[in-house]
Amino acid sequence: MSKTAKNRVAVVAGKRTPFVKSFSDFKDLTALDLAQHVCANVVEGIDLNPKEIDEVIYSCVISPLLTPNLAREVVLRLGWPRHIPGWSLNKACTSSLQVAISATESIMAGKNTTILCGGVECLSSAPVPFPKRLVDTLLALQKAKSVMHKLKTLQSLNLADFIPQAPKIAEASTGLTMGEHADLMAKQNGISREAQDLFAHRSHALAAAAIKDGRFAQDIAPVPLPKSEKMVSEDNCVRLEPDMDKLRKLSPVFDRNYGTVTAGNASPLTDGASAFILMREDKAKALGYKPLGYVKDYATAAVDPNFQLLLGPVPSSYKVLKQAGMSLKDMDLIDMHEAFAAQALSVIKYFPSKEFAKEHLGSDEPIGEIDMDKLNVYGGSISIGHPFAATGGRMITRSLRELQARKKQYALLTACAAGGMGVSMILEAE
Amino acid sequence: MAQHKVIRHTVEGDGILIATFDAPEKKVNTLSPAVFQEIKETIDEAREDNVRGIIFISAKDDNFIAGADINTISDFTTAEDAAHGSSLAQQLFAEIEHLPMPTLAAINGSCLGGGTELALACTYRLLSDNPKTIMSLPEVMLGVLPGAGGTQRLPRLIGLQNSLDMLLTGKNVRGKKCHAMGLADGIAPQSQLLEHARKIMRELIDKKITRTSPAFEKLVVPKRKSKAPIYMPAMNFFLEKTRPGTELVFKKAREKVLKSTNGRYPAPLKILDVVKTGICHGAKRGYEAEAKAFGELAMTPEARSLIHIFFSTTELKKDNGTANPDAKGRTLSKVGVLGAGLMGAGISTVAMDKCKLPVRMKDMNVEALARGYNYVENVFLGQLKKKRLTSTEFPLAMGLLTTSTTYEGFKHCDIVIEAVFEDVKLKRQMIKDIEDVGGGKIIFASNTSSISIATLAAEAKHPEMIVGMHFFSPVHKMPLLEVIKWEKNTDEVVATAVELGRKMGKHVIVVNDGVGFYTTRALSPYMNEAAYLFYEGYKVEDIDKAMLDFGFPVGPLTLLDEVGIDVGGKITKIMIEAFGARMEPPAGWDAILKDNRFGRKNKRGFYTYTTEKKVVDESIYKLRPLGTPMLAANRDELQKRLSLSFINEAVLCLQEGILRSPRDGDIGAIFGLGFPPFTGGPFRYIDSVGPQLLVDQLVELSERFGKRFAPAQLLVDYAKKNLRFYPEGEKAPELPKAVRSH
Repeated sequence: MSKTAKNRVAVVAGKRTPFVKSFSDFKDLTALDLAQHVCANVVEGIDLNPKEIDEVIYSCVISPLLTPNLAREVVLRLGWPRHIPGWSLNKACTSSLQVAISATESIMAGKNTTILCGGVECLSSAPVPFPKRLVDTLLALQKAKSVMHKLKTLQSLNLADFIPQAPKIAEASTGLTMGEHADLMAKQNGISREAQDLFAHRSHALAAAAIKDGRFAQDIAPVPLPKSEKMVSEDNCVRLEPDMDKLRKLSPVFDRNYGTVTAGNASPLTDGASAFILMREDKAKALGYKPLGYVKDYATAAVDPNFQLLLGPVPSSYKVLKQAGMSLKDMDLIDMHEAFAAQALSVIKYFPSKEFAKEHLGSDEPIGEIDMDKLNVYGGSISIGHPFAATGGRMITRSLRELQARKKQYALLTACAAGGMGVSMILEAE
Repeated sequence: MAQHKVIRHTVEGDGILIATFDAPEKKVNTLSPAVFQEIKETIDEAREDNVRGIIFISAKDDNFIAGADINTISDFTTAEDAAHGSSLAQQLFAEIEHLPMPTLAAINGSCLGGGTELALACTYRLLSDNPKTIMSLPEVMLGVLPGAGGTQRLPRLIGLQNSLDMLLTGKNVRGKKCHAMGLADGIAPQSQLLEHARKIMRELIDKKITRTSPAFEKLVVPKRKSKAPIYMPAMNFFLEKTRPGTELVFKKAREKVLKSTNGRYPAPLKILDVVKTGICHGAKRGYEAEAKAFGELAMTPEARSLIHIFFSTTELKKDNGTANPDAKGRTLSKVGVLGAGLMGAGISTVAMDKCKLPVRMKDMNVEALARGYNYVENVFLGQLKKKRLTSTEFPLAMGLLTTSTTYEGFKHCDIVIEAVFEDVKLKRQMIKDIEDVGGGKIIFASNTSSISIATLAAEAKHPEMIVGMHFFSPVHKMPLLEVIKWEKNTDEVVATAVELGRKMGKHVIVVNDGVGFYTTRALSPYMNEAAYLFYEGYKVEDIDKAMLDFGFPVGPLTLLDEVGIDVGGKITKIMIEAFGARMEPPAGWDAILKDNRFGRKNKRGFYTYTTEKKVVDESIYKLRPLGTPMLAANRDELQKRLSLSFINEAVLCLQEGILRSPRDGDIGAIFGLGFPPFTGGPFRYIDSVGPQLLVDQLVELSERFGKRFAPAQLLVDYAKKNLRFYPEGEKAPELPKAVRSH
């Protein structure tokens, strides 16, 4: 792709809000609030005049009922020029990577030059549906004409119908939750509890180091809290002093008898937002920007959810490397979304697997062994947290800054998603 | 048909006369004797032609009638004249009320004073749903009362409590509220106002709607608050419909007026009398009382001063602050604010609220930014609570504010307003930073309260871009902005600051550069004098009380507590540096600063701020030298020394060319420093009492207390030549006794 095009697609800026546990710091904020703050900050941060923005593409997995098209709402909220359109997409946990892909394609096709991208998740304000029977009854109540009729309609309800349904992120095609799938994968792939806890510990230790040496602060846009004199500028999921003993003591949450997935080795429910600006290279240079890096290539793929739900990154990474004519060894950094330690370790296991390559990738050659020194060098979703649609934006921004700091060239980003999907992307530094 | 200039009227097939107010070449319609004559002719013709109904409407965009032409009031030379004018208007409106055919006022935009009174005389009032549609009776703000029947018709239409609220405050009442309280009978879409007016008129003609509006019939009560106690209806019946009840309402209203005006303004008290006369002795006596009171009030010095201020502020709106009347400011698309403290956050608030401009606010750390953000949010939450904002508009209002600890996001600001500590070095650094960020294209406005702009700009690469914008705290409430221009400014820079200030809803005075400019200069000797008086042995409360009696909203020592004693100390230092000994506080003043007294902010000042009621902090007397006598209050002495310190310095500012006109001096003193409005400001005050009297008093004071009271040369010259600061126009009025006494 980049060989044929004169102009590359540049990532000129990227920011994220602090990632915080759901129902903690951001409990009084909405997805739109978070999106608004991070978008304003990323645009102001590089002194980009909003009128230069052609379009906003945004994403949210558990999308807010009242503001489903966050991209457009952000423009209106910030008082930006009214002519900037916006649209929003949902590709589960790979949403903001897909936003980057869609924006890249629009720029490569010559339709746009500057697109504000990102994703947000605010489970604290996620809609909680009423039970179906209650909704039905309330509707019937409106139609009921007489008082008697109304009373009769109400009579059909019992107390249990008033308990709202907690949102459960279960796969529609398999009926199992993500965590149950992760537990299953651990069993199928022989990933031990100890290995998972060690992986989680590694994630926390690396993230803690990145916080301590100020790397994350470069990415973070502080968020003012409503009706308080507080502004949140730090993540709160990362354990700054991770302790293996504590991780070992946690009980499994999904399969209580035989499971190995715990709250410690899975990504937590998280609130947060990310935003980044993609711009055609010549425009970025003309405006005097030094891009963080460029989108080199990308690929999406999927596996049968009934096989192993979270293995999507294996085929998508295979595909992107092949497309770009590169090998895993060419990658200086690998940023793999850590939904669960069990999932990450499964992906790591199948990257070098010849059998898997033969059976699922139609290739004799596997992708190759992952060099652990290159993988998630600043932690991942287990430690930093995982606001579903925001994670991709975090990965793009951080991996490019990391490449810059290390004076390295290429990063492979990959993430799994519901439905057995995977997205991989190769980024290159200036 | 007589040749009408303002009212066009047409009658169509349905026999309804449409009288359209459209004053030529004016933005708003006003009422004057000539317009009254046109109205008279219109209704005479309507009667002759037997039209079936009359609709009054305006052709202006956002205005029905803006009330009487103020010149009409100031043109009256005697109380009898004015009373006669009032009764003529009353007669005309009574004629409208008693026409055989129904009348309807179709109101879009502002409907003020006489406009509201005309509407009150109509059978039906239909408002447009334009958010700018408001009704009010603001006469009290000009020191008079509604003299065309307003004090009589309003209470009968909307009840005693609601009408006193409108009459005594002069406040604007928005469309929906008008409808809720029965002042308006209906609301129609703006684009179809006339169409709906016709439809309603036909119903009125066919008697489908009767003369009496529903509000007339049922008991009108103040808008029910959700938390109103259950006995409210009964309570309101008592207050509105029974004799002891109305007596109680009048008593409470009088107490409130006396408290808020300190008895300084006769108009609200007269309004209470006139309304009461109408209620107790019937409409005829009421109208007579109204006309008589209007005549008396129109001649009072208070009304003359308030009307003078009204004219001055109107004139001020045409002044762009430069010598070139065609100079225009920049179109602004983004404002930067440095410093997220009270001032910075306040400035951000008004830029967002009034100008709808995006604001980028910077401070050193997120904690400061968070406090600033919270300050802005609280102002908008207040508006939300008062329903001035809807819950949809609230996040949009806040969306204009972004914050940063760096200069990211400042490059595209058209103007940056600095509100950091009063420190030359720090402010110069800000200037340099902004020059670097914007390459000299950004206007830099300093919210300094004392340092001269020339000093701040001494090291600047683009000195022409640096201007002063001196705001007053709390910014969203205080109505004044002092713009400080200096020799190097381009006209565009000055005009931009002036236009921005005006869009922020401020009265903008433009002064020339100099340490302390005008407002801080005028205030400094005044505050110092309060300190001298304190050291001589006067009591804190007596010093403050004297100036409250003079007409200031707060006393000087209370003001010092509010501003911050430490801040005052810093400013004093700068003032002494520039003006020498006459700005020095009394010996021993340091003791107060050293006693860790900063005023309200650390709850330690002249008053304690620990209890609900403000009490003097008795321990402060120990900071005076041993043997300081306890002097009894001597109001004349206190008022004379304090007011003359202020006034003399104001004249010095004019003499030195800091002030460009006495008008700016008066507006600045009244709206920025609380100088009593009924005096018309320090310069008009001098005109009233005569410069010679003040020179004599100053000479006497300088003999007693030294050079700080040396009269300004300009004042001496004016006294010698018997000149006046406002030479044209009628004689300045005599002042109320309490102020004249010394």
